[in-house]
Amino acid sequence: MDLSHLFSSHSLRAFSFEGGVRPADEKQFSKDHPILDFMDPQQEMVFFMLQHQGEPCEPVVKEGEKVFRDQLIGSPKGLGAPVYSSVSGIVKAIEPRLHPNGQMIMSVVVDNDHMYETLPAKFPPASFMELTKEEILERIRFAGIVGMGGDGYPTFPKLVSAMQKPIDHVLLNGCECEPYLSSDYRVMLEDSWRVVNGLKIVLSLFPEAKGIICMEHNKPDAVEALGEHVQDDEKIRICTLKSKYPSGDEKVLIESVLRRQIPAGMKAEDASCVVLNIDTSVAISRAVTQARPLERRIITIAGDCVRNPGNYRVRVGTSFSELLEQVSPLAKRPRRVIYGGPMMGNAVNSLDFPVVKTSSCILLLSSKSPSRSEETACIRCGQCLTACPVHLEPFRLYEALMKDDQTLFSKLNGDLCTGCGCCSYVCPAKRDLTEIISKRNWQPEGAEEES
Amino acid sequence: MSIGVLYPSKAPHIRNPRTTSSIMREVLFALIPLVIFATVYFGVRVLLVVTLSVLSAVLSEFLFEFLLHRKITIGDCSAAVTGLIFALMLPVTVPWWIPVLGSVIAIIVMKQAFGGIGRNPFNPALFSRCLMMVVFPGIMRAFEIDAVSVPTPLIAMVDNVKLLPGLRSCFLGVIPGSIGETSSLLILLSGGYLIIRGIIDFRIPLVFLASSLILSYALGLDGLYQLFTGGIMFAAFFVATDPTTSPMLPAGKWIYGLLCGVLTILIRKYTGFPEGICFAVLCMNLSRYLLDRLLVPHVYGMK
Repeated sequence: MDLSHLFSSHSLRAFSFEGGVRPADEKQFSKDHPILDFMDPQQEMVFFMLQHQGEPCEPVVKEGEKVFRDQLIGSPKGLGAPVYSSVSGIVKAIEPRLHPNGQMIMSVVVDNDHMYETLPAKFPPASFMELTKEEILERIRFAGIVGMGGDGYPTFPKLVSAMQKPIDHVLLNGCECEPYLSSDYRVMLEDSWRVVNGLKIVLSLFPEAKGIICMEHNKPDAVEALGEHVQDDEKIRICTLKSKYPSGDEKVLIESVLRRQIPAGMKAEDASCVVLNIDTSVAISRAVTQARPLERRIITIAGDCVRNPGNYRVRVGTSFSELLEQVSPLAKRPRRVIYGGPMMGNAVNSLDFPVVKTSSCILLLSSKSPSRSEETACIRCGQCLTACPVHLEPFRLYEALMKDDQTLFSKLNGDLCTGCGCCSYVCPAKRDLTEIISKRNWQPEGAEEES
Repeated sequence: MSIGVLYPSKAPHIRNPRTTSSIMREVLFALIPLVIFATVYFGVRVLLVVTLSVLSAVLSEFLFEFLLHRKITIGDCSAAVTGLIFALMLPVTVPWWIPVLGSVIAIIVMKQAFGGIGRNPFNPALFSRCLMMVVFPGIMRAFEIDAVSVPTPLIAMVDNVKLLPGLRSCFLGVIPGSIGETSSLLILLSGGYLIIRGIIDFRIPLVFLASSLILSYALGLDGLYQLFTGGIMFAAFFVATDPTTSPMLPAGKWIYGLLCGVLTILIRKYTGFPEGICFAVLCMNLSRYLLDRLLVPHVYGMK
């Protein structure tokens, strides 16, 4: 199939950015297996009231109450998104549970009755073309959609706030640059209609904007799958980027594709664009056309300890330990379990926590530490400077923090660190640059420190 | 599901396998062919000079750190690299105490006194060689092959000797000179290996060599001859690329390499010193800090 008309004229050379690193992508283990369903979990379901950036939701059900699938169980207070039950059953407890970031988070625990009795949809199924902007936004708000790439920013307020700005591009972020992860790639292949439909829905909110589907150039089959659905649409094109980490970072993606930067301390909308994750786009499509709340997501299970690495479609609330037990026996004893991608995820000390809206990956590694060698003195090789995608000077920031020199740290714009991990990755002295620098500004869902 | 005891880990949870010591080991490995060639061409005394130099470098680092109760860092092989590079810049005829004294000065005065690896303002081996050249000029210029004393081509040119070896001999390295500096061919191969392995950056050697070649011709010298004699090739690949004393960013590397080449040829042409690389690279070592500060990258999102 000839797809050349979908590309912009200058896309013959791949889009890219300065800096970044090229770790082994390790996707070969999971990317060729179709997404498998794991939709009937046996153990109790745990729904955190905080699955997004912002304030925790307030539980709106009581212990002992019968809940249906798709029933609202957590109602947002302030910035947030509603939480729904993904199964039917009895509310067993409403109590704080351990979040992978080490905090105790208020949760609704439901005993699954395996009947999956579903509440009737609040809205009738509809094509987005029949709906007004307000109706579309209402459906997105109702569905409890958040940024599913990991940042978890609620999508409804993000879109509403972006609609106040002169948005000229909506980017669909298919750059899955973290090693091991392949869920976005599988979704683009298997659910390409919904991926594109989600983008079209968002584009209908921004009549002035063009849509660009961005992905790394090593995914020609995904380009083809999505290409079929955008052929008839003048406003959408596909753009391929060099395969390099962190090409999928929002700041980096905007710079690579649009040659513009988000002003320091501002959001993507201030650079006149909206960036959507692939799975978020699918959720938007389901929310608007089928009026379904967000209650499932795709998880990559990978690492050298997993016998059947792959991607699994699971209900939000499913326990990770059960998921792993059911879908994949262990090949080796894991020494480290990483929640999220290997570059930016957190190490956890057990698997006894549930899938949330923003979970992307669970990685079981047999090595005890990221590097065999200890931290040594900086040799001033400058590799961290060359690797930093936002062009900071990591080794100087590190030294400023070691000397507790806040003034120098701010002068060097240390608070602009995205925590991508490139500097620590390349450092031959194996210094924990990212850890030290990004802790200063990074508050994942209000967490102080991982356990 | 029980999965046993899990270890904590700091993001990123995967790291580039390259470490300081693996970089240093690769450099040592790449320099072995030069030592072998020199042993064959100059004789086994090469091995004595090299061994003495490397051993004294490593030992002095060990003793210094041991006596000051610091962490022993000889395992990173950087002292061995300093010792080896120093030895390769010596004439084979040097008395035994020159490699010992020079290595000890390089490690103690130029490296440890400034706080160890990564903190030295000058390349230790080059600094030490320069010092030896100034203090013991006679010894450092005593080149001989098969026990017959001969001047190096560069010294010969300065002294207006008419009979110079051909360009081909210079490229292959069958000429008088310092232990590791004569064979341009081998230096190109070893340096090329390090570039391909990603240990050194291609920019500095490329522009160092290119600028000295072009400037030589511009000043009426025989450019290729300048390149293949003396220490330019060796310095361009193994000394000027020292991470600690060269600029960090690509832009700085271009300027640094360019000025290294220009200074070398200017010193060779307009001063009484036959060899220009020592002072040229040492001067540029000092400019490293300035280049890094002047060329700071533009931070994302800042006006």
